[in-house]
Amino acid sequence: MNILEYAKDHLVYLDGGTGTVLQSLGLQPGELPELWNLRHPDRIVSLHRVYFENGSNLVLTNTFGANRLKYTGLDGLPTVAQVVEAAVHCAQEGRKAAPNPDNVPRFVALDIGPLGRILEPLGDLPFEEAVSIFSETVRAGAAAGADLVFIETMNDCYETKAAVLAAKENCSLPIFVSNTYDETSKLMTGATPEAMVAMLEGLGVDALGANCSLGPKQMVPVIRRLVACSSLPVLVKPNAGMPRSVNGETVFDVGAEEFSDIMTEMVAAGARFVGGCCGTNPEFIRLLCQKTANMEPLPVTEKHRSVISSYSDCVVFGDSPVVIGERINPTGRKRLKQALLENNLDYLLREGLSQQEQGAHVLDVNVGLPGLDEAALLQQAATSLQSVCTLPLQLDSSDPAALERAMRCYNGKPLVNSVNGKKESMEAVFPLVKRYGGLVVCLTLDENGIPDTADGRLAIAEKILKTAVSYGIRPDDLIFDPLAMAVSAEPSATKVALQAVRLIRTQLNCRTVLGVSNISFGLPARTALTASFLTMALTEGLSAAIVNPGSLEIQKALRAYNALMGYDENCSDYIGFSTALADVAPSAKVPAEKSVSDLTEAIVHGLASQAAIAAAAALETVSPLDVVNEQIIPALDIVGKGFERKTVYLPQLLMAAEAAKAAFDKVKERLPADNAHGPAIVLATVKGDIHDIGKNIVKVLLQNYGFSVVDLGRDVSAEMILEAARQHGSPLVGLSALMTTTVPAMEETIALLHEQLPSCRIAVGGAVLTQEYADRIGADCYCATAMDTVRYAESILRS
Amino acid sequence: MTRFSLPSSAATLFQASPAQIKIPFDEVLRYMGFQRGYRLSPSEQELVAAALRDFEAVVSYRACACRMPLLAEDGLVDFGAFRLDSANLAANLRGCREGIVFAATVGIEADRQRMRASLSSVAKALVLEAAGTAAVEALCNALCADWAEALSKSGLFLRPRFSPGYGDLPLTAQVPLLQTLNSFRTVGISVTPELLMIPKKSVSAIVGIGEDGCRQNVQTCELCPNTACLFRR
Repeated sequence: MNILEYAKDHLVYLDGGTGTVLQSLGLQPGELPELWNLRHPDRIVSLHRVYFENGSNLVLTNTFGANRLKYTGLDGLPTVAQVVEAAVHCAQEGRKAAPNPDNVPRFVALDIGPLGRILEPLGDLPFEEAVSIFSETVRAGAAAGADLVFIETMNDCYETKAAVLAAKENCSLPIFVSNTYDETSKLMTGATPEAMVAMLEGLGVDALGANCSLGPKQMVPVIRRLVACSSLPVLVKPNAGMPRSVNGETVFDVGAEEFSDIMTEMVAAGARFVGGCCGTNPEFIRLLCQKTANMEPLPVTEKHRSVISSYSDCVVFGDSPVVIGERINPTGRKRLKQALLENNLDYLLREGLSQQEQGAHVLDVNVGLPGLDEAALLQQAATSLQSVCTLPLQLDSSDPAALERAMRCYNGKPLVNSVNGKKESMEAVFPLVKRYGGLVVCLTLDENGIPDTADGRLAIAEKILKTAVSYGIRPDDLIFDPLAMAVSAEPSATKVALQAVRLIRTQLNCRTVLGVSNISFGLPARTALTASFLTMALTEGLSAAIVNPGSLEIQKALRAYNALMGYDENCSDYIGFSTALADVAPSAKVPAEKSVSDLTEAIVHGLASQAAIAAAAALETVSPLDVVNEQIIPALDIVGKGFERKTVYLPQLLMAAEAAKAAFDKVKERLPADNAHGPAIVLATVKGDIHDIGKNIVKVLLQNYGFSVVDLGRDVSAEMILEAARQHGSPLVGLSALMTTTVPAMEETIALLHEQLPSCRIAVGGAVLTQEYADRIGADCYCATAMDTVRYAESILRS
Repeated sequence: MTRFSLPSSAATLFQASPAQIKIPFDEVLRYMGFQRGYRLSPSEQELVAAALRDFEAVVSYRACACRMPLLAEDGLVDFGAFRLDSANLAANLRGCREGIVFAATVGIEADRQRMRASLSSVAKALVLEAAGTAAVEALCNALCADWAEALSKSGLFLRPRFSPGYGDLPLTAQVPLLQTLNSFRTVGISVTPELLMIPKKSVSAIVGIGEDGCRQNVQTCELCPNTACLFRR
């Protein structure tokens, strides 16, 4: 019998702790527990047998750390396949050896624990490498005859996804996933239970839940939240309380009686798979089985949630409208276009963060531009945005290949824009949604174009819905866009769109989204029309709007709607908004310093807002170039020289740089977009090093002094640095390394650059470096401070 | 009031709220590169105060520690589960028969916060960087102070804290230390193949427990070859 069939109408008893039991059997600190599968199979068999005898129906193989990072097959260590095969056989032997008079179905789960490394971008392990490592373990477990895959103790959303993909792609066994929440009910990397449910349901796992870290009492709130939003059965494996030190010995503070009492509460709250983690033993399981023997499991119900998630939070499409920020889209946006062409992702990230501040709930990401590799760029943009921004993303592309790459590496469950009623589109996009999860935007158009009537658009929506269901996609994972067309070209555009929103909501019971701004295309004073149309559409039941969250008119419409409809408790959001509106006087937040009107002085004192005001004032009478050359640059020089004389400290230098940047931004508004200034300087933190504050400081200063900079980021290979220097014809490359362990990578990079690009100079810096060290590894210049780099750049590029 | 109890022979967990760990303001300024005694201007004051507030909103202080027997002689320290080859560490632990191995961190959200700040303001990123360093040091100091106090009741003394990378103790020592503590599972600290810890503001360390009061005041800066270091005391 399959575990899923059995679990349909039974509570399933998992096993208890492994590590604690093995330690009591003599496992030494530092000894790899999985080696016992080969060295002491009798002990492992007996571990499993005892759990079965005490009532477990499902035991986890002793493979928590069985991955190729540890089991290399070298230096006397076995391979992953050997360890896993032996482990599965031990569990099967244990099952055979335990008497089973009532013939209760019993299962062996391939246990998969975390890799112990943190994934990019916070850590250094690439996502695809994690998938590949997990895949190897999954294949070995499936080949050895495991009945299901049990991914557990995952404290990072992204690593969880890597493990699930590996399981989906390398076997057809059921997949259970258990995460480790802390006392604030979040994963170490920030995900809430609701966010994990969103992603895991999207990926199509079979059960989900929580284990380890917390005792049963602290885990109750997590389980309640999981049960409340999950349409899948929930599993729970708490620790025996918290480990405490008593007279020098570690003890867990919850005994088997108390544990099993709280576990019956969990069952009553809806947990379907129950067991224990660290500190629990067969006695815990025996009592748990005894006390819950007469309990009926709570039915698992479909929750009908339309939801997307980021690495930390989820966004639910319900009554209150979801705001999708539209600004990361090069159409009609010169500066973003230029940033994309220059691969300047920082610009895009700032755009994302500012939309978050303006109140967006989701960020649309569209990077389609002729001549660019959209698939690579969309993935890069999504990954970079997710390294700094907590909002879920709408991956927006008409190219299924680009969607696939971005969906695969997306951390969470994305909004996918889009599929339409064309056969070709549905055949390309729906399999991706099934594979990676996602809420997909469905455009109501097909081979015959966009129907003129709302009924015509409804008919296409019905067709899309039917097809999606045939792919196994839940209707809750579809959101329909009945298309807002320009009212200037088509007078009935508004009526048709509004009617279609209503029909899709009432007839199909589905959610809707509109690119609201399209309605005003071609007309003057667009925001007034857009905002009015937004209110009209919301009143028809629109679930989400793709808008510019920075537009005040849009904000007014959204907040007023929420307040008027009762979605804003006590109208508190509206009241806060109204106060903020009154505060938007330009001189609102001037620091307590004396007011500085002179631009030079504002920069020297590091006062960004005053520098911007002073620059704007100066630009009324002075030409932009003169403002730069006669005021901004001299101010920077005063600070730079002060820093070299040690009368100005680093934070002051940086504050001045930021004030200068604020002034530059004003100047740029008066200059043509194209203000390239000579060949670019390439900056990078070398391979293996993930520290980058020093490099970031150097970048800001170089840009301030008018140099164009290509920042390759951190952990960059020698080959990538060479490639960038060649592509940009860079006369200078700056390399940073913070740790002694990464200086060899710097040396290799220098050697490669000198060999391939003999005319390119290389400056190095970083905490660990000295002049002597820099000389030894062949650098052209050692820069002890960021200003040294500026001076060296001046000597190379401006001599 | 003793907040942190003595660890046991198996990895013991510690947590602290931002209110429990006082980040020394002077240390933040020192790590930022200000000279001691410098008086901040109002805008600098605001920059630092705002960044510290943001930092305290995301910080998650965690540590795990393990009390272990050890044998320190002839430039070698034997912990049973692993051995470290370091004359400086052996000297630091001279006369100790046991010690505490620990790892402490301010959490990964602080890393993400710095990445975010470096896009909008490197000056703020610099404060966050300094705050992270000062905070993890403050956590280590608080742990050690409480342990020292608890030990003093049994007439025992805690030696100065010693980390991989100090003197001749190589960074490779990071691996067995963190493995023994099961640091990834217990507090979320991992180590890269280049031996860097993630989250970045993390510390792994060894403190000796001595039966005598021969507190050798090893100033760890004295062991460091980088004499030009801005932060050298």
